[in-house]
Formats: sequence, structure tokens, C-alpha cells
Amino acid sequence: MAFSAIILTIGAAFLTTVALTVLTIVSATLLGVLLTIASILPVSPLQKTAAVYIQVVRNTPLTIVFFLVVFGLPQVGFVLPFFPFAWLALTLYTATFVAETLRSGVLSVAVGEVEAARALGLSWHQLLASLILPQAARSIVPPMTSNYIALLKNTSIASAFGVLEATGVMVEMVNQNSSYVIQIMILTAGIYLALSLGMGLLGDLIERKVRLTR
Amino acid sequence: MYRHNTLSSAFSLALCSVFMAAAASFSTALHAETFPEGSKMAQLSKAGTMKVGTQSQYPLVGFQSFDGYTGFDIEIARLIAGKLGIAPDKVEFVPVTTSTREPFLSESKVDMILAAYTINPENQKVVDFAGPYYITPNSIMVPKGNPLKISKMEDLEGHKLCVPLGAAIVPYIKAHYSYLSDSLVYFDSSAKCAEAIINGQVDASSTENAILAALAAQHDGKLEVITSIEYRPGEYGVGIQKTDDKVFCKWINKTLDEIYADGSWAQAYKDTLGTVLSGPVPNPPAPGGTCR
Repeated sequence: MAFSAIILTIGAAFLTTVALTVLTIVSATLLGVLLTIASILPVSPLQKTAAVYIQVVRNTPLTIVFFLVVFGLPQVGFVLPFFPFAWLALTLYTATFVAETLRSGVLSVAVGEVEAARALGLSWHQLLASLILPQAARSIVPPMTSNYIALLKNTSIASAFGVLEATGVMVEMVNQNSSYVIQIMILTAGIYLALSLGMGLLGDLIERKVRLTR
Repeated sequence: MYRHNTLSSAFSLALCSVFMAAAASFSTALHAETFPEGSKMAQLSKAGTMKVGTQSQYPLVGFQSFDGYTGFDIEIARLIAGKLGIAPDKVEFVPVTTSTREPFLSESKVDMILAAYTINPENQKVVDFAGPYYITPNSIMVPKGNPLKISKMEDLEGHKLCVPLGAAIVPYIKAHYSYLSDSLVYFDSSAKCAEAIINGQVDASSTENAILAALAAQHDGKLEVITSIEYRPGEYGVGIQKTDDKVFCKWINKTLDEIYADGSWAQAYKDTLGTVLSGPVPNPPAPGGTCR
């Protein structure tokens, strides 16, 4: 296989990687926000459930999360194709990091502001929507960007579980072109790097737009 | 009484291992040849230890468990090492994957690789192969009872066929059974493919039938190998670093001939693959590889 053909094949495989990353950013952020809300609302069972979920999943290696989702769920009768399964595994895992990052943002909101809002008679719903979450979101852009960059690279684990994304195609290419092993790996790493840098730049841009001047 | 029993069995065990160790060192001392100065054999023989890259997930071929490594590749590696005067426990096994094999050899991270490593023209560009020491066709594995009634490759069209990522059969399937190109599902090991079949997530799996037979044996009664489908016989070779003089390569081939002749190859087969593959011990293939 000519090297130009290899570049095209790997480039095309990154479409799957990007799709998996973008979809997971959306779903993991949604789930992460829900987990954060659950962990700050003054409802004890909700708080505990969220805390246990976050601690258990966050501290489990992603490969094991994948294993449990891809091979465990079918054992209890829940079967999906491999791409949605990978999306689910990545979402369950990444959401815990999103939630922890968001919680740190929530903690950075001054207690006095919350007390003032309560004194003014704002409901918990209003408090969350107009005071806590907007402020929390602004202060956590850099660490959240790191979470999403980690996610981009984590999608490579899907290659071991039935989803042929960039890393999987890289392995295929390496095996069919033994003379270009190192070049193919450097090429793949280079594309990951370019995507990560792009996400970092985007993060910087957003941070500058939303930064609070205190 | 109980205490006495355990003591005496512990004692006889210890005695046994002393005898075995003595026997082993005696036999290696007996067989140790003298090797040309500066050759890979002389270097390994002098070191008294060697690193062998192997598969770690394929039962009966190359498999890592709490008891260490077992399998046909492991046995053959130990037999080769023995001819260098290296005791079986001095052979260090290093797990390799389909993508780390070539770099491990070129960077001298391992001295040789026996890892269900198929000799093919693409690999031969970057590594030397001694052997082959075993020939296995590729076959198809399905759930027990063969619900889709698969009896030839054409029957798989439109169904999901699980293959190990990076396997040599992938380009072969795409070239010869192109109608299956969209059916392929990739996992990083045949062991995961077996799980996926049992879960009903894929319909079949393909790789060398030695590995399939071993996996079927491991998942007692849930899988079956369709032995009537055989394609692309794979020659397992001993991968070694590419050299100009081919001295090590030729020596391994000579050693393979010796272990064919003295019956130790057949014994290794009987102890491992022979426990699941039906039929008599096959005739070992004539070594040739890339060192002619």
C-alpha cells in the first residue's frame, strides 16, 4: 500500500474518532451536569447516589468500564451495536470527570452570594439556573477542556471493542505495511496531537470570551 | 496424621524437584554445543537466559495464567532454548501483540518471537523467519449448534464476522471474499470475539483453527468450530531480527529438524494443541523460512 493511501485511510478513520468524541462531549456533559445537580441539591439520597456513582466509575479503569458495558450488559439482555456501546461506556466514564470539575466550579461560587439569593427568596431551581451553574461554568473552562482532550484519546479504547476508529485502523495499517510501522504510528499520533491542540485553542478562545472579571 | 502427610508430601515434592533440576542441568550440559565466536547462539548460550516474545491470550498456543506461560509456542521456545543450554525457567516470556512484534525485534527487546506469528511476504520485509514449525489453516467458529447453518464462506454474507484487529487474515478476506468486507467486526483478541459470539453480538469469528479449537475448549459447550471451512493455511514462524548472515536463522531451522526427529515436537503438540484438535499428530512442516 502506498503511503499516500495509508494517510487517506487513517484520515478517514479519524471521522469515527471525532464522531465518537463529539457525541460523548454532548452526552457526558449532560449526564455530568445532572450528577453535579444531584450532588449539590439538599436531598441526601440523591447526594449519596451521585457520590457513589462518581467515585466508583471515576476510579475504575476505562477498559474495565468498556468490558462491563460491552460484554456485561448483553448478559442481562441489553444488546446494542458496538458504536452505541462505545458511546455509552465513554459517556458513563467521562461524565464523572465532568461532574467533579463542575463541582469544583460550584464550590468556587461565593457562599455569601448563595445566602443572599436564598434570603431574596430564590427557589433552588432559580438559584441553580441563574446563579450557581453560570458562574461555575465560567470558571471551569480550562479543566473541562482537559477532560475533553482526555476523552478524545480515550476513544482509542473502542478499537478493542468492535469500533474501527483511528487507532484500530492504525493497527490494521501497521500489520498490512510492516515496512512503515513507525511512520504510521507517528502519523496517527500527529493527527491526535493536531486535534487536541485544536480543542485546546478552542478552549482558550471560549475561556477568554466568558472569563469573569472579579 | 494429617501433619505427617503434608510434611512427607512436601518432602517428596522437594526431593522430586531437586532430581528434576539435576536431570535438567545434566541434559543441557550434555547437549550444549560450541557455537561460533560472536554468533547470537554463543551470546545467548553464555548469558544462560533469553527473552521470547509470545502471545498471552491464546490458550494452548501462548497463554499466560497464574502458573506462568503455557502452550505450544511456549513448549517449542523452551525446546529451542534448551539446545542453547538455557534451562526452561531461564526463558523469559514477553507478551507481544500484532503491532509490537516487528518493533520489539528490530529494537532487540526480544531475542526471538513465537507468537502464532504467520510468515507472510509483508512481514518478511522487516524480520527474518526461521521455521515454519507449524501449519494451521484458518477456520470459522460459531455458537454451538450452528444456528445460521454456516457451511461455507458465502453463508457468512450479511452476517457479522469477528476478526482480531491486525490479523493477517483481514487483508486476505478482503481480497478473496470481498463480499464479507462489510461484515467484519474487529476486537483486539480472538478471546473477545469468543465472548461476543456467546453474547450473540456477532455471528461468527475467524482465525487460525488451532486458536479457535482452544477457545472452543475453554468455553465448554458454547462454541463450535466449523472444520469443513478451511482457508489460507498460516505458517507459524520463529521471528528473529533481520540479519545478513542468517546464522541464527539457519541454526534454529537445524534445531527444529532435531526436535522433529527426536519426538519432542510431537510430544509438545500432544500436550497442548493435540488435546483439542482431533486426528493424529500432523507431520511437522519442513523448515525453510527466509534463511535459505
